[in-house]
Amino acid sequence: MLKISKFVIVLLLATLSISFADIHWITDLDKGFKKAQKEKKLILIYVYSPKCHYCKEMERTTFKSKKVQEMIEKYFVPLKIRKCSEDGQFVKMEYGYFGTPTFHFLEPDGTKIKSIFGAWKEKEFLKILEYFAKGYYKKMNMTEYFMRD
Amino acid sequence: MNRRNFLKVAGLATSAVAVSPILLKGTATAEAKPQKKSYEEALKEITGGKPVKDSDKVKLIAPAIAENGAVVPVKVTVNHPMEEGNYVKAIHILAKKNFDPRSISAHLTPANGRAFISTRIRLAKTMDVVAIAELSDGTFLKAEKPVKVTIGGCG
Repeated sequence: MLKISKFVIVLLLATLSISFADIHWITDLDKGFKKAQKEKKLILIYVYSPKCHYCKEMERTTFKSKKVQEMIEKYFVPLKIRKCSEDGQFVKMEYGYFGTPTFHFLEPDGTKIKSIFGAWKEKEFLKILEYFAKGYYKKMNMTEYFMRD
Repeated sequence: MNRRNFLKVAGLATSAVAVSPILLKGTATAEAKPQKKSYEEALKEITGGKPVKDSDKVKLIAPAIAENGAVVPVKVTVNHPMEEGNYVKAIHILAKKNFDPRSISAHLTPANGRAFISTRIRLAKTMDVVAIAELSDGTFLKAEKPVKVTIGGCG
């Protein structure tokens, strides 16, 4: 009986750890840029504010999606930058700012590809990620890409 | 004009200017407020209650995901002749869940040669966009497409 209880507890903890898994956000801009150059991955900067309702909404839903996590971990170096921090000010000056959340998609060398404003549901965010991850951004602009559907 | 008369006239003019907004309230200002409409109401305004058939003759091109809901590009082509007595009289675009779903009505004549419009519309949220072709024989054809926009953001 004790063995069964232990097994159930372990299983429960394992399930919880999976469901609460998170994206491995890097919060230091320099560290993130160096990693991207080294791994030759695209950079995804997520500009957030702790008081932003829609940022919390995305963190609670879209970022908890396993598919989103896998896509981000595989193709991007994810950076989470607080709007009002020193790095946040730099990002604002360098890549622009539209409100929170703002997503900046950059080449591994830091060249801006595109910025997108607002929170997105899992399905739509996956399609947006795919546009960059699969290199469609090199062939057509985002509107043209989504016009094809 | 002597000084006394000048002061009288100036005083009257000043009073008239001060009082006129009160007297003219509701008469000189336009008070038309935007009217909230349902999709069905907006559709009825266009068709007068006539049936609208789904048709692959109407080709509606809009992004499945619009990066900016304020300017969503939409193109409509109607595969129909454009000749005297048999032409596309108008193309209407409706955004189903907007405050006022009627986005644009483009009126055409055979001189247009081709039933095609390209424009940008505003979408308040994720919704279906509908293109309606009004034909010269009084019938209506339509095509629909769902367009997703951001669920929101903070300023």
